Amino acid sequence: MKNGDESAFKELVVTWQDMVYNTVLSILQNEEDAEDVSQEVFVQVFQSISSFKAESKLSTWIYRIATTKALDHLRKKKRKKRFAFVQSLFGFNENENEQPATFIHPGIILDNKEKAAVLFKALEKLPEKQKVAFTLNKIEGLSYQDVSEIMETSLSAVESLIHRAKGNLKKQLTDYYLLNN
Amino acid sequence: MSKKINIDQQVNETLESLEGIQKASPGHFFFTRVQARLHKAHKDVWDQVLSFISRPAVVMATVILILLIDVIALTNTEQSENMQATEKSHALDEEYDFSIATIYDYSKPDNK
Repeated sequence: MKNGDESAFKELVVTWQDMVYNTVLSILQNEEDAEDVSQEVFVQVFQSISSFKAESKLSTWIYRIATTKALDHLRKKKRKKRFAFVQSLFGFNENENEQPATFIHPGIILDNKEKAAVLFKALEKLPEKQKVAFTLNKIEGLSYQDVSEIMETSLSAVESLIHRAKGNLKKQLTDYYLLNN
Repeated sequence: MSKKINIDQQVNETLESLEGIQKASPGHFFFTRVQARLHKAHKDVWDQVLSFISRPAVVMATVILILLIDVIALTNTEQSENMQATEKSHALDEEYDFSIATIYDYSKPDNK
């Protein structure tokens, strides 16, 4: 792979594409964006594989690229939204009322679809680090140890992030159900 | 009270709704699209280089730089040619003693 072997790269993509796509999709909550960013992740993997040192697992390294790219994309989107808002104040933007559709993760079992959609909506509002930690642990099913290696932080920091994420989600969900019951 | 219990239950059920979640997969032929993107990224680098080179400002700066180098090289060559010619004439002068201009000068006893 480090020698630019295409078949090795293909094997890598096929092996990790679901993992990358699933992580990116859970963070971005948009299938088109997730596909686009997942492609970018593998382009980055191909271009910087020579800098990969076997100090960490390959999966950890790929997860790190995927979460970084996904967060970058989110930030870019937020900047665009802010710019569009400013434009709309001056009457330059015609798509000001464009609302994102409710996201339903394709891997959710049918019975849980409605509740999961509410949860993803709440997840969207979490701070970045809490969002990534929660996504990797609860959606990707990774251990705290793996999450700490991906996020390059301590185990206790991950525990704290997930604890705070759950607390924030509970608060948001309580508010939501209070309003909608 | 019962409303609060009901809401707590809904919140917990919502938090547990991710149980049994399966991995989502990208569309078919994902690798082909990644490959196309890689080629595009490679091409983009060359496009950027070409577009930079073909910018009018860059073209003008390059032309001016080449002309400047030409002028400096030409000036240096002329100077060194002049110096070489002077050195040659000095060498000839020393070898053949051109300070004596005519045969008459030789025949004059004062010069001997």
